[in-house]
Amino acid sequence: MFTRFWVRTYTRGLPGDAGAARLAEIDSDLHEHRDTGAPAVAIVGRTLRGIPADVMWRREERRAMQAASGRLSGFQTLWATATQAWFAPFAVLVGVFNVLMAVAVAVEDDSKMPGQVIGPIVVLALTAALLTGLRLRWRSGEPAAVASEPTVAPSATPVSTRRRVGYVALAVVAVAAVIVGAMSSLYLLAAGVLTLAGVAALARRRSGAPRIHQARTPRTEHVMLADVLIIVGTLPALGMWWLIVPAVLALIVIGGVIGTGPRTRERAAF
Amino acid sequence: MRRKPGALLPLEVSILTAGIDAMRAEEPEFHGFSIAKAIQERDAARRLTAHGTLYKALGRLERGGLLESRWEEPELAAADGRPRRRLYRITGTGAAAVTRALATDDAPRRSYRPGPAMP
Repeated sequence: MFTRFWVRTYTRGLPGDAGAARLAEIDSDLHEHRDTGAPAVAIVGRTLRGIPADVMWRREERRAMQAASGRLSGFQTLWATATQAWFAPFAVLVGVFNVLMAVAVAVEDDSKMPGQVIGPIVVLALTAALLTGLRLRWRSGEPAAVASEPTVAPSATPVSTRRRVGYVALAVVAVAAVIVGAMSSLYLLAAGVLTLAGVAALARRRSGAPRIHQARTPRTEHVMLADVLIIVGTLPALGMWWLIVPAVLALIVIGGVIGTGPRTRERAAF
Repeated sequence: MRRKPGALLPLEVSILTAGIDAMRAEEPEFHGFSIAKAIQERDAARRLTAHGTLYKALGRLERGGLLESRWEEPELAAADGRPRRRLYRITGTGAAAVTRALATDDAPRRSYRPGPAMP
């Protein structure tokens, strides 16, 4: 029947008791209503008129659920994943481009001194800044030294379907990049390999061996410095704008750094 | 339209008024469909309150402490051959709120007159 179908639809994914209670309550109501000899069209009409309120109720319930569990909304999770977990491999790739640039400048035959020496040094220093920034950012999400009593987590951390789909999509893109890159472009090949490595590392982090859980206290004092270092470290790649790929990757990294607020940073996996 | 904090919507006043009527009839507990029926009769409305509107309002009133609810015993429902009912009861806070709403002009234009005891 339409009413039950609709109730099942809008209670899907809600915490067990809220959805089940609503379904049971509507079941009872339907029974009483049918007992009065009401035609089916009247019952369906009553359901249809309540759809806006049902949708609002579902939104409120989901919001309450997220607030209670501390989970981020779908968009926030997507943003956190896109900007935290995934910009790290891109940043590493930017670092690789920086090093290649430094080497290219150093070995170039018709370069003029002192640029041939100073240029690579500056670029390598900026690359070091980028990697240091990444390291600081990673440390800002590590458990604090003094933490509450550690507990052993279950061996498999639940991974949401949305995240699984994200991993699979990225893995597919990475494999495609490797295949296309092997035929024509070193950049695409490198990007594909690094993305695949990132996917594998993250998948391992989420479903691997038992982990010790401790209270997470982000070391926020280093986060701002880390962001500055990462952005500064992307400058050489931005300077290679004519190669397009390094500059695009650098922009992705900068967008990730700037777009990541404290809340998403705290909750993100990376 | 944004509601004033603490103000009751017309449907909420209707529900609470029906709850008071139920108390007067010495049947202090009521269920969703009985409330929808009572409101329809009082308003002489052509249609029953929509499911979504009614149960959302009941939930809101319960969260606000104006109503309380419990599920009836399964044996009772099984004996009558029907699904279990969720039984609501108006609280002291709810009775005070509806009395206040009826006394002031915040009350809705219709459907809030305390009527005869609910069947």
